[in-house]
Amino acid sequence: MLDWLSSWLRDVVAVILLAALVELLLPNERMQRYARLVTGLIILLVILTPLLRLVQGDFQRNLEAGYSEWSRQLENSQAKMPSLDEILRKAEVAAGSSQEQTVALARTQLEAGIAAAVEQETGAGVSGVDAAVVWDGKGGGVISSVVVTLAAENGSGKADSEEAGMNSTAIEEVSPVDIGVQAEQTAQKQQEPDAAPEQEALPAMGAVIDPAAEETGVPPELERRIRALVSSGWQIGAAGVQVRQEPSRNG
Amino acid sequence: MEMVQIAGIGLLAAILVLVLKEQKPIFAFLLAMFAGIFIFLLMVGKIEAVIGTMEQLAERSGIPSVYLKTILKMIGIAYIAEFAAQIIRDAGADGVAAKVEFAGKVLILVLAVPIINVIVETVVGLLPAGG
Repeated sequence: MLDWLSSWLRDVVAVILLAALVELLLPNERMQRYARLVTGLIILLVILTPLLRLVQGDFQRNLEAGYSEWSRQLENSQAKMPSLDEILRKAEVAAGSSQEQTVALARTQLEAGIAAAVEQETGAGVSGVDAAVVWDGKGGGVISSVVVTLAAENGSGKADSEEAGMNSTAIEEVSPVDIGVQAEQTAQKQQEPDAAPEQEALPAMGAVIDPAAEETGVPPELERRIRALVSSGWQIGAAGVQVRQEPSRNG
Repeated sequence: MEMVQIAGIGLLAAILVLVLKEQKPIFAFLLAMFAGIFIFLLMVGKIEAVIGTMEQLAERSGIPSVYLKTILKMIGIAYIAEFAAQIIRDAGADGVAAKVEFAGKVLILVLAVPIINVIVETVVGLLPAGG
């Protein structure tokens, strides 16, 4: 009992001494009032230690837990001001998303431009253009391939001529083929305006129509013209341009 | 004899500040600031000795280290706030100096919050027993 009392008294005396030292150390009176509050609280805590031990077993641990919790909270609230790294990371993400939007916008505009040009030049109804663009990530891009889908009611003479045109498969790699295969088809293509002169130029341009074109349902002549137009207007390799026919609704 | 040295540095700085103030007020301010920092750094070593004594006292008496940490943090905050506020006041920006002091006061009060928490918890725990 006496042991306990003496240790408690020693604690109290030491804390009061500390508080006196602190008061001396403090730079001016303005701070002293606040420091006095803290030292007063600490002295109170030390004097109350026996009572605290009685009421809540390990208040010491509570106090330390409270301190660590408190400093963690303070750190968290300070973290609300983002660091430079964080800002840069966010900026990168934002730039990436804006780049994506730019790419999408450029692509839609490109597709609209191709569709308008094809419709204007050939008079064929274009139902959709799908351009695949490879972006280099630095604001530039290369058009790798373009798929032009023609509207179903486009060529009047074609819809009934080709039964296979119902399934609009893409034209595969263009491979040289003898013109004789197309002989029957060209008869129908004559209905298209100025089809004949371009028919002559066909082998010269190297854009020889694949037999598979029959399955696309696109008149070879029209396809060749669209192909030439798109590849010359947008600097796309002729192999990268595909023309397909939308399945005709009346057929 | 350190006190004489420091008094000499202070006087010299004051005279130079008076001379410089006429020509270049900004350099007068810089000179005052560096003189202040110099004296402060000279005295930090002495404060260290006092703090060491306090630590020994706390250790010997078995005061929890949390208390001592709190007290030392408080002294540090008070010194830094006061020093910065005085330099700013030298530069003529009394308003900013008052804000710096205010920040120091707030931070000292923040240190007291966990202690207040424990005391309040104890009082709340006592209440049913007392009533």
